[in-house]
Amino acid sequence: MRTATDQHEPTTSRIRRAALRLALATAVSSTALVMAAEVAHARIALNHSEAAGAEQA
Amino acid sequence: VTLAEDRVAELLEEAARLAGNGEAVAAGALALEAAALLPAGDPDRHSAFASAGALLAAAGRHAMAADAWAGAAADAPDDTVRARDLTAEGEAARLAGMWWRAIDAHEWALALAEANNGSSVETAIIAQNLAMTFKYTGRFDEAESLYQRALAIAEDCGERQLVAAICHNLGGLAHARGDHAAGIPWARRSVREREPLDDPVGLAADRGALAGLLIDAGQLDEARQLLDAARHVFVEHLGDHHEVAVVDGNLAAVALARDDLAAAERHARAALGAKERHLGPDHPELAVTLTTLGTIRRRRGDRREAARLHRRALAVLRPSVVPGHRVLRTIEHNLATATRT
Repeated sequence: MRTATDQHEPTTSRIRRAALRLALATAVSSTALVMAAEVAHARIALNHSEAAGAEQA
Repeated sequence: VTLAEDRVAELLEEAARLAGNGEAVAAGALALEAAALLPAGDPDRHSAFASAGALLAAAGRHAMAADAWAGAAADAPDDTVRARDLTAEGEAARLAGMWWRAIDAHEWALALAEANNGSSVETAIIAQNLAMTFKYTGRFDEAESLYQRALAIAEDCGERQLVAAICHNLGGLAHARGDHAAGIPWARRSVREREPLDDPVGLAADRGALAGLLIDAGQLDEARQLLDAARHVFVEHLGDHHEVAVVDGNLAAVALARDDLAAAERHARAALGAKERHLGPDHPELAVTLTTLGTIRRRRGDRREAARLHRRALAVLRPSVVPGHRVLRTIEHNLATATRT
């Protein structure tokens, strides 16, 4: 439902404001998710070295 | 003011609210919907796609995140931002198991970063992302060249986290090539570089990767100690996580090398179950665990299940790697052993 404030605000400005609010919430939320998992090395990816169980040659 | 614009604003506002509540997947989906309603070139469209990519990646929805980052790249305001969007797409695609798409995205990102930023830390990170994807697909020489270039930049810039990561990954590259003697010094250096950095999860990853190399070298006691320590850190910090599954896969390989088949099977089944939960049933990173379990089952007398596991390993890996990849050859050999009459 639109509020009195919304009715006086051009929608493009409202989109810009909402997009910025989303970007801020995303930064906080995704950082929180990463911090919660403590994947401190998430930005610099590390590969996995898993030994394969091989039959004798 | 159109109805569509009203709808976009409402979607973005609701996405922001959900993101603030930690509902990342729902927020990301709404952000994607809003972005798709905005015209190409609109800066808010880029912002919405980028928010969606970050939210979905953080929530582990990597395939959706890759699409969101691709959308962001198409609407990036300049090539520096586009390079970041593309390498984010590449990472999401790699984690989703879409390795060829990941190479395309990282290659484009690297070309843009080199043109705009030269030998910067940003360029080094993109180069190492591309190198890792080359390693997974079996394009080892290209991986080596890019890792060495990224390492030189990281050392020049004093980026110690990046130096540790690249040493870790050079060890992994040697492991993928079957050259544990070359890989062990890189893996030990990654541990040394990481130890002063107050990064227990990264250090556990380095120790786990070193263990993978030590198993192939037959140094099972040290490997086992490193794996136990790494597993403890991962469980404490990450809980039920893909990283724990990789450690369990290596614990299975240690037990198999010691002929403790019951323990090997227990570890391998734990690893496979966790990988299926976190990566899905068709991800190429399941292949190594599947073939390890197949070898264990064959040695316990169940050739039929062994063959089924090795065939499934081939099916998930073959589309994602170059022909003749070393792990493919290992699986084919394991399958031939299981089906030999």
